[in-house]
Amino acid sequence: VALPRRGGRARYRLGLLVLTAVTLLTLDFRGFGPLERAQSAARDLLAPVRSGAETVTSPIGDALRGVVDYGDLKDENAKLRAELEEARGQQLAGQAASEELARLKEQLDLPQLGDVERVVARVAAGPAGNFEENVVEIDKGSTSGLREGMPVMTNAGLVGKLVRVDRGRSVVELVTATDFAVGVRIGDEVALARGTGSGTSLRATEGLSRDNPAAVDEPVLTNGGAGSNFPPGVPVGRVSSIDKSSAVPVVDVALEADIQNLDYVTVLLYSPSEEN
Amino acid sequence: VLGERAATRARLALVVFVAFLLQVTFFVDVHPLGVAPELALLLAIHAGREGGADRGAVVAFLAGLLYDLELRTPLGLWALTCCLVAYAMGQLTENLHRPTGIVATVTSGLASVGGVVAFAVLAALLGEDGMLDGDLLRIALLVGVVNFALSPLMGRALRWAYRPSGAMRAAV
Repeated sequence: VALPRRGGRARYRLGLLVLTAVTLLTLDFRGFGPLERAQSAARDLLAPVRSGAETVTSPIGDALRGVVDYGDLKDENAKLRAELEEARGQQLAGQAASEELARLKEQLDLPQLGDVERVVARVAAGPAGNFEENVVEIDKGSTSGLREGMPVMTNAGLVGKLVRVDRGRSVVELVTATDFAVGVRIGDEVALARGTGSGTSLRATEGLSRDNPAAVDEPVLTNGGAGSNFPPGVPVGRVSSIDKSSAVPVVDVALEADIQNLDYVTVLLYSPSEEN
Repeated sequence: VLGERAATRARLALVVFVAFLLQVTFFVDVHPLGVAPELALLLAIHAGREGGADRGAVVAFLAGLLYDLELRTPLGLWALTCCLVAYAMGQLTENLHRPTGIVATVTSGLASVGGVVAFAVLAALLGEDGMLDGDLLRIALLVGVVNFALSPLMGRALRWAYRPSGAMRAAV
């Protein structure tokens, strides 16, 4: 007699748990404000413990990775040295061009990227679990003035945008995420396109014509414009290949920022409604 | 008895919290075989086995919910998956067979594969993109292997959490 009663209670409790989960899922899908605020408050509450745990575990993790990835690290080091040499050579020419561009923009009264306030943040963690890709977590949040949608970049170029902002931490969706989209302009002819993440890189499609699909190695920058979360002129990358087989050419963009090895990033405190 | 119950709950809370912290800190950087273990799932399997379908499902639900807080997948999805897995494991243990030793470890690995696939299917049903792509089988199998390796540790932690204290054992 005892077993069925126990089984009945277990089924009843399971039913309650499933109902609770379905209710949470429904509220989450509807973007129920109080639930989102409760989630954020819970994460804020856990954040100090998490940071403490990270301080303890990250040296162990780094040591383990150092042992396992020693060969890769050596190769990467050599590659970085070569790139640094090349970058030193280009720096002077780039500086002169930047100064000339700034003077021109000033004369034309165009908004300059340098005018946008910025906050430097450390990349605190990569994605947790196995089903979160193309996101990283940074150690700055709403108390530093960060808001959802703000662009994130490194000195090299665009990295992504903020998709979740708690008090002291935020989540950045990387440009390679499949639901990431940004308006871009390509090359000197200024072909406008819509760049979307492809999982591993960025692809520019809509807006390009077969007659003017841009050329390989041309620079790709954000276009900005009314309502855009991104200011104009943020470097994104260079055209790496063009597929003209379909009606609308598809342009693959090699990103300038090394999003696989992010340590520090810059968040542009840019709000489209204020800037435009 | 009340004191014993409170002590068990405190031990369970500690195990759940430590597993959560390891998942969102250490195993963000360390990916054995290229995947992260799914500790909430492993905890659910052992909670069902050690605590039974009834109590195990509640512990697993809370472990899944805590994990849900940190992820961008819909809130409640891991909680739902974990409580279903714990309930199934509890039912199997109570009604069919209580595995021990290597059989228990292998069962944990297999249940982890099933749990990962169940999570992905539920997520896909809820409209999440890219959950049922070709990578799912690879991830599920490797998570199964990694969870298999971690299963003895989690089993020990859950047995410690559910064990009656010395005073309680003496009273019984």
